[in-house]
Amino acid sequence: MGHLISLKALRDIVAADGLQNVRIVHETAHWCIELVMCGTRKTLATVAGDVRRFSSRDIAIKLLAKPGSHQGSFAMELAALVFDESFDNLVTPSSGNSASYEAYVEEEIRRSYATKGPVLPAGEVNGRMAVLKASFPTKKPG
Amino acid sequence: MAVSWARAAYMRRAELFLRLATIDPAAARRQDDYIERAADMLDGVVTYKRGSVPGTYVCPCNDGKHVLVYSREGDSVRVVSLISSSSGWTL
Repeated sequence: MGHLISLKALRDIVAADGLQNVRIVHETAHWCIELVMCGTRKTLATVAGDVRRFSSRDIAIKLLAKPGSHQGSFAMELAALVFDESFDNLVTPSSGNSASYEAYVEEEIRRSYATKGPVLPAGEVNGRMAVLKASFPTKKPG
Repeated sequence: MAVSWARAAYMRRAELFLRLATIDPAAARRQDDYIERAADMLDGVVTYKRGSVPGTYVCPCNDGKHVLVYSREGDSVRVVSLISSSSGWTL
């Protein structure tokens, strides 16, 4: 079992390795660490399952070692392992207003769930999206 | 078990793709791939956090910017909405 460190300590570890910022966001049941590097936000990793075998520094290094990779989901175990801050302190929506965000989510869910429109099989939706994707060039225009 | 999309959720997905694809098609494809993968993986035993409305669940997409809202009805999963995550949300 690794030891608990504060969010500030993790920031310090990441900053020492040359990254400018680290953001912790709460994605429903999951935690996700996002690092801001050279002005480009990249989700470095989302790690699921048993991370307890790593020390906190190992985790930071592992994230740095795999920029842009996605390794599943950063589950609550990581928060329990790495952070000694409360859940509320870690929720930092970009707007800085988590209460408004929660209200937005509730309204969106309530509105969409109440709408009993037609449904499409996932295969058909994915097929339509594939056609849409194929209609765009593979690279940035210009 | 089968996954289906509510028309509104599908339209939202297409809208998100088109909005980004006009700027960066490759990034739009990647973003949509994350959404597609997250939705397809609902066709399993995993149940995510309950949504604020009874009968709904919320599943984060690995793009870090969107959350799928879905319901389970018998053996089928219905994606009812695609909303911004806290990190992708602005006032």
